Amino acid sequence: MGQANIMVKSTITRHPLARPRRSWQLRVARWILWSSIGIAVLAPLIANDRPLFCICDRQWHWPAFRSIAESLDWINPSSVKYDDCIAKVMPIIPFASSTLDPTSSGYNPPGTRSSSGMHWLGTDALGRDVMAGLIYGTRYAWIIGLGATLLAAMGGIMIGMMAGYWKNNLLKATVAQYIALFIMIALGSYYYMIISWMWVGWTWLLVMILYALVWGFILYWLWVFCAGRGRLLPVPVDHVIMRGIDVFESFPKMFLLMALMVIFIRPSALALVGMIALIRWPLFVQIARAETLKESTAAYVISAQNIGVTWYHIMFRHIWPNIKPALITTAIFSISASVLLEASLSFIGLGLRLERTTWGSLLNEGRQYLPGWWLAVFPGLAIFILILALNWAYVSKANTEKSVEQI
Amino acid sequence: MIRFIFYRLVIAIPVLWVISLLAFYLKEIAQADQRLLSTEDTRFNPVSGPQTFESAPKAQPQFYLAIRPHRFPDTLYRIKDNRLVKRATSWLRQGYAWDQVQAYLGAEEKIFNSTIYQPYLQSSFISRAESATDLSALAAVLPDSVESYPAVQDWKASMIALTSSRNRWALLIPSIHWYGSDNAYHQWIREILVGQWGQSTIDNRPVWTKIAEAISWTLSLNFIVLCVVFLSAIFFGEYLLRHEHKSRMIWLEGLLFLLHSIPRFFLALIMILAFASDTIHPALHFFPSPGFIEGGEGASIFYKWWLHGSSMILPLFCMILPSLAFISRMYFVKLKHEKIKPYAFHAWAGGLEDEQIIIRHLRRNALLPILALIGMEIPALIGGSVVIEVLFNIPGMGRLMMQSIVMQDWPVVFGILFMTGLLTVLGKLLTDVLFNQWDRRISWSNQQ
Repeated sequence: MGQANIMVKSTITRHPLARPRRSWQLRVARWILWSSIGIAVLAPLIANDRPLFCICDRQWHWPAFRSIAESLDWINPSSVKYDDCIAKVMPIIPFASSTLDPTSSGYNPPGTRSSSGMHWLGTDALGRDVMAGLIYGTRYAWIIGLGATLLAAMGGIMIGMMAGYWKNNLLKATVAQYIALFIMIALGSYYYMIISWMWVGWTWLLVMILYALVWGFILYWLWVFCAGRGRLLPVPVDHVIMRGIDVFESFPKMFLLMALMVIFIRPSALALVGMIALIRWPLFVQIARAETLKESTAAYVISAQNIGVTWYHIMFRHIWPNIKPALITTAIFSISASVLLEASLSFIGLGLRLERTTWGSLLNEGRQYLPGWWLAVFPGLAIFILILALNWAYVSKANTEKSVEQI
Repeated sequence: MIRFIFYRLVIAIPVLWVISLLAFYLKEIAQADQRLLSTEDTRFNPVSGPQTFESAPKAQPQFYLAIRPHRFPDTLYRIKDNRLVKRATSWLRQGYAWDQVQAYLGAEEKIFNSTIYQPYLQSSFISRAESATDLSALAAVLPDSVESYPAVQDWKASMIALTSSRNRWALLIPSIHWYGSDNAYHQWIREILVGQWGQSTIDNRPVWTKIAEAISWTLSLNFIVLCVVFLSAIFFGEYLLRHEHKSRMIWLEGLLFLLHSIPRFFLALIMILAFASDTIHPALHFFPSPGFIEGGEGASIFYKWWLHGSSMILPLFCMILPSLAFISRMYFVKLKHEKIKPYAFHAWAGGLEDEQIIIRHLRRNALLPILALIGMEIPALIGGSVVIEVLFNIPGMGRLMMQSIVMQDWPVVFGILFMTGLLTVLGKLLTDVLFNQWDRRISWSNQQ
């Protein structure tokens, strides 16, 4: 009797086609996300043991700006000592994440003063500033979250759209095309092996991208060349891809990641991004496939097919703009999942190399020394705030797109 | 339906096969590295001499077939010394011819093994030459004093021949070699299939015993978590729906959202700081610090819970809270989606009470996606939460996996991978069958 009727209000108050209100959560989330990206990009200017500006021997120096170029391997590290320069302008936090405190090593609680400045959030066992660690950790969080998501999205969306568009019967191939496909896949993986013997690191990545482009080009023209001879058989694209994912889904993925981290002893950030992308791409395949399936029964796609628009034009010009919102929502979700994955790997001690301070590795130190509560609380809060902002952005986005069903 | 179950069981075969390949590959990499480490410098140690291993494998190819450039030899696996294999492979991969590589390594062996030359070649030169794979660096390390010796000149000649034999383009021609069933993988998988899973390399206990102990902890923990989360999510979701338009609900929803966003390890760490240590205040030290949990060999899981129940409260809390928040919110959203559908409106127009609409109509439809969500979490439920188990020292699957990976205990790692893969496939089958019973609208054909 006293209870409000659950059916009344929602059906009356708002028009079903009214634009959804901008939530305050989305505004706060945007603010947090953009400022944390700003911190990540400008980390060497906010926290650095080198001055922003100084004058040595009547020459102007910009050491902190120089360290950005050094960290990207653009220039060689400078050997100038900035101790007895004049007109020094220090950054807000006069420590880099790897700077050891000369006066007091060991766990310093928040607010400890040292010779070069105040440790606002305390230090870790080696006397490294936690605040500086948090600021540099933002970088790794974004590199890993965004990098893994972009990589997984690129591969997953392509594959998912192919499965959703061609299904099992739309793509037809002659026997010659089947043979060409088989040979190209076999040779392609063989040359992949040869190429990975010859180049390593970033060069390998560039060569691989070039190789994929060239190989796709050759495969496409071979496919066109082999068309039209013999009778046509349907290619079960959807079956092959979805059965592959079925197999992949049954793996305990965290275990796989842990085993890889131990075998390739503490890999670089690039390799970690690759590994996380490897376990995140099936999600993108599933969502892209489901959305494409839904769109491909729409009238505009069928009419386009009937007047003979090519498949790539339909896929990228017609279907892609319509499935993009759902995939962006998925990507936001995936960023927060990747950040959490990296943090929990570092937390159990299987993260990036030791000199790279991430939020997870700081938390790991807090776990090993409980009285140092500042090592547990502040990095944990940083992760919490980033994840919260991403989740807010995700939910607001999902509400406006009306696609909360798929998580 | 029988066709569907059959299909799901057939899917299990490639899953388990891929897992076996993966485990074998990991094991081979790790063991090759270990052998490389342990034979370091024993060769020139007159006392111990070259070390022999009981577990040293027979000279066997790794797999049934090998795909490699046609220039590569088929018999590389017969070389016992791992460093030699590494150097030879490195040169072969750069495009040098096998005959020349062999001749060069023979000439080098002659110098290193002869007692005449030993005093003239400093040991640092030997170790540098032994590990070098770069030819130009090798020529530079030769001391001038031994230039004129015949064996050294042979060595130099073979090095020049090796240098000129390089042809990168020859790598582009592939060849397939079939080794037959006499290979390391075949032998290993046969033992596995017969049931000889071996023993842990750490404490020599049978793999199955270790896994059975760990899985009893993980499954019992997750069972409790699942029951609590599921029941209270139903309560919270419907409570939120009933009082949707009251202002205090904003706070409850916000709280649930905050809880859902807290990383579990952070929550656990804070809980330990506050309630399982003296860090904040000794009076708050309610629970025992995470310590050694063990219930003796062969004790039943109930007895272990009786012994260590108080240490389990905090981990249970940390596992329940975030997922409770997540599932309740999801259930609430689903209820709202169902509420605006015509059938609910009809029920309301027909004069049904709120309670009746929720319990009879909405709950049935809104719970289904929630169950699907739980079904997707099955691998995680079996694998256990690594972070929580490591942090609270619970000897479950997650911690066992972590320990055996870090200590390279490959029999156990494979056992766990196999177990989780199998149980995941079976669990998914079970949830799908349950779904079909629950909701007849889900047709089998959609899922195939």
